[in-house]
Amino acid sequence: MLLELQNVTRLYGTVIGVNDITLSLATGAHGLLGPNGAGKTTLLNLITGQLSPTIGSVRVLGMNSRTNPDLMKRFGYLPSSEGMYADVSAIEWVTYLTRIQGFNRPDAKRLALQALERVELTEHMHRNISTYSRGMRQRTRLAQAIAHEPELLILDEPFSGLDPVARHSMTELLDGWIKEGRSLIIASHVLHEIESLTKSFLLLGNGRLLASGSTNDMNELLADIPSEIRIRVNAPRDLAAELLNAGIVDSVRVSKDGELHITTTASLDVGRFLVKSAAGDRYVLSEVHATDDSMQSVFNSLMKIHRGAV
Amino acid sequence: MSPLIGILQRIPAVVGFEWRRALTVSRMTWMVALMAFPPGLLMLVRMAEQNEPPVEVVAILVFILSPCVVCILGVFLWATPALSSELEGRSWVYLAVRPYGPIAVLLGKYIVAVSWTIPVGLVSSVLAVLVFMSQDTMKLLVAECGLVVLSCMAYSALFLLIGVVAPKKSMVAGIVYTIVFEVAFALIPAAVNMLTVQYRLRCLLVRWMGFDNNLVKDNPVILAYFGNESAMWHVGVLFGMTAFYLIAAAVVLRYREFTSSLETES
Amino acid sequence: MFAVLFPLLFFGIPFFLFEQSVRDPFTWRTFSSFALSMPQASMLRDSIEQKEIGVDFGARIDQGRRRFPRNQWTPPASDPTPEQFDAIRHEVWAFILLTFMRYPQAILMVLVVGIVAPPLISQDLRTRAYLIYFSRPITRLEYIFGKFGAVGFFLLGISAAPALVLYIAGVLLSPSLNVIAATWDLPFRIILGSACLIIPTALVALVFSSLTVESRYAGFAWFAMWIIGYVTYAALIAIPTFEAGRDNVVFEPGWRMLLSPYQVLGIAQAYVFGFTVDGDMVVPAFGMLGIVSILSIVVLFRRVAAPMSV
Repeated sequence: MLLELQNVTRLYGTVIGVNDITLSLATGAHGLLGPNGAGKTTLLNLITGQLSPTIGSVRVLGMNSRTNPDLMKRFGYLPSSEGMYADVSAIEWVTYLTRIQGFNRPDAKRLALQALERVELTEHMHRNISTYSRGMRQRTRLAQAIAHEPELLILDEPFSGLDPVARHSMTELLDGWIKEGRSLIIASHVLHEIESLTKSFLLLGNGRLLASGSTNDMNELLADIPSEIRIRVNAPRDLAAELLNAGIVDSVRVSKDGELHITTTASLDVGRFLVKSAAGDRYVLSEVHATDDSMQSVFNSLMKIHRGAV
Repeated sequence: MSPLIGILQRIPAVVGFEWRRALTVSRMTWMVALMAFPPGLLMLVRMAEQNEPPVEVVAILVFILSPCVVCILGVFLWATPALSSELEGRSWVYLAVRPYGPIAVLLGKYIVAVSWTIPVGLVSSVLAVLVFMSQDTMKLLVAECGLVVLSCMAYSALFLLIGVVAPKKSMVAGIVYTIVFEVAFALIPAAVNMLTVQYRLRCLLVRWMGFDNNLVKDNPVILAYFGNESAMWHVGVLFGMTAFYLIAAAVVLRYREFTSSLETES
Repeated sequence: MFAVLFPLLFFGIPFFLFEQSVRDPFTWRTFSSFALSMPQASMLRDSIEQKEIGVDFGARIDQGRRRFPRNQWTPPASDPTPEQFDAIRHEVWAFILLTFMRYPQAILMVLVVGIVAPPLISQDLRTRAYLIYFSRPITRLEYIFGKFGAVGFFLLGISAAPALVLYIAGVLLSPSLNVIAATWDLPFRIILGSACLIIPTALVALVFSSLTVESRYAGFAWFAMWIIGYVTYAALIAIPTFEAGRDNVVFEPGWRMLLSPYQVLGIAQAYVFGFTVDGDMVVPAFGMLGIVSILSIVVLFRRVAAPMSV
């Protein structure tokens, strides 16, 4: 088992960082999603042993990360903050950190070189880090996380501040990492980039685990949650009445500008009804907007449930 | 792997890395200035004086300037911000997620502080003593150099502990501690001053220079300032204090938790 | 708060003792013993002797070293008359206020500025927050003035404010409010003395902060300046003082005082309160403070402009 959390709560005084999280993750790639303040970094700090839980237990690769220094050889961590020394070169810094992992000097240097090659930074690795672009610094930080060839890579907002080309390179690299059979936990709020790497997600909100699983699992969760459809039609009130009579909507509302808003748990039935209506002469449909089934909408819906709005 | 071996294996990496990083123009300039300060000042004193001052006065002056001021300022710059520099620079997390990283970094920085400051203290002591040559010059040289070594070791460990206990305001905490304990309390002729590094160092000065017979004997007040324990005892106590401060710093570091939010606070 | 309140309470005692001495001869002896044990008590005695009022403070048998009275205490042969009390009130009050500002508050000032000032500009440089500042319609002068105000506010809170409170306490502890007639100028001297303290020290502290992106180096430079200055002064007067004591003569430190920032401030503040530590050093001391302040402003302007320069 990659990760096991049992009723984990972490408090900062009276502020709740994470609240009663229980989960088990098998080896593989997992995305940790949530808005700012959701508790992603706190959870990662607990996993990497920087914090101990106020309540509960955290086990990574079967061990307690806070009390097992040897566990730290088996994972690599890329934190969200930069925090590199400006006055050293990438090769010096990565070698230094690899030596602290426990490797002797020749091995540390060799591993650092390999890691920097992998992140395509060998050309610049002798320059001081202060001269690097944002993308180069990010690649250097990734190099220190992978140099000692860990089983598990933990990344906190790895795409933050990167341009599209750099994001693409990072995604390819991480994809290659996953294909090698290694595990990955990646925390982000850049949803489409996480979706391209993994189909397994953990959704955090306000310190709680809102949902976990694949996109399909989440859609099943949301099956009973009404979705919203907005329709621009020539006779909104008449259409609203017909939809209500047909018993396939939960609520209807006509806005001031004449747009018809409906909520329904039977989106397919509504779709068929609208197609039939449009085929006739009575209604002229100019726009139909439905909530999509992307992770963003899944997340938004889950947050609504959590807040009690639905 | 035993934790001790794990820590010891990593310390050389920290020492080498931090030494290389420290070879900057500003740091070297500061060290040269510290080296030159005591002999330069004593040259001024010498030029203003017509008569040769007694060896006791010279010994005390050199003691205050070199093993005290120079060594304290030297190790203060290195040891006190050992943790806070990593926290402020947000680089602590990379060290904290390495096996035995935090403690290896702590002890490595201690060694760097001591190894940088001892040569500075020794050079400044030697040059300062040579300003006032006398028949006791050799004796004074040996005494002051010994005090430099002990002072650097003990004060480095002390400031390291202060920096770990109060990382947010480590510099101010160090200064307050120095003023309150090492200056003020160390002058109180009572049991409290025996807890200071300052007391041990000045007792060693008196013992090694043989000032006991002239100053200390039969005077209870002076005895409270300089004690009557042997020099070996004071050396042993200083080593013990050094070990205690280092162990305490390691223990505090082991059980404290530093998060990214703390790293952003200065 | 405790660090400010405790000296305030402590220094309220001599005010109370002095004013009660008008009615009670025993209290006068207590006060005069207390006064002569305060640092630089000879300054008060010299100032009163110059006025030829004939007040007897008693004496501490100082074994020839008037500047550092020693322990043998001879009580005054006679107690001051009410007229003599009125004549010396201004000097005594000024002395108490000066001692309050010179000793506990000056040391507190060094500590407080060491906490407050170092990160003020260095953090802006480190985080590049100056870009945000100067993207607004704010001039360099306003920026520097604002930073100065931050330090000045704290210094006012530990120098001028408690000293003014002490003055008011002195008035309230007096037999009548008529004492204000003899001491009306002291609040202005307090403000002027505080200005002598605040302006150069705050500016120098900000200069240190502007010279580095690491606030701990700025803090270190600040404390090192005071320590090295004082140690230099103490070392230069050590042997002459020792010899003066042995030969039973008075030793004037003279130019040596100008090497220590603490002594320079002491000369200036003593002059503001109507005392003279060393007549020949008053102009040089004020000159040094002025030059340091002006140079500091010049350096600050250059440092603040530097990051914005292409």
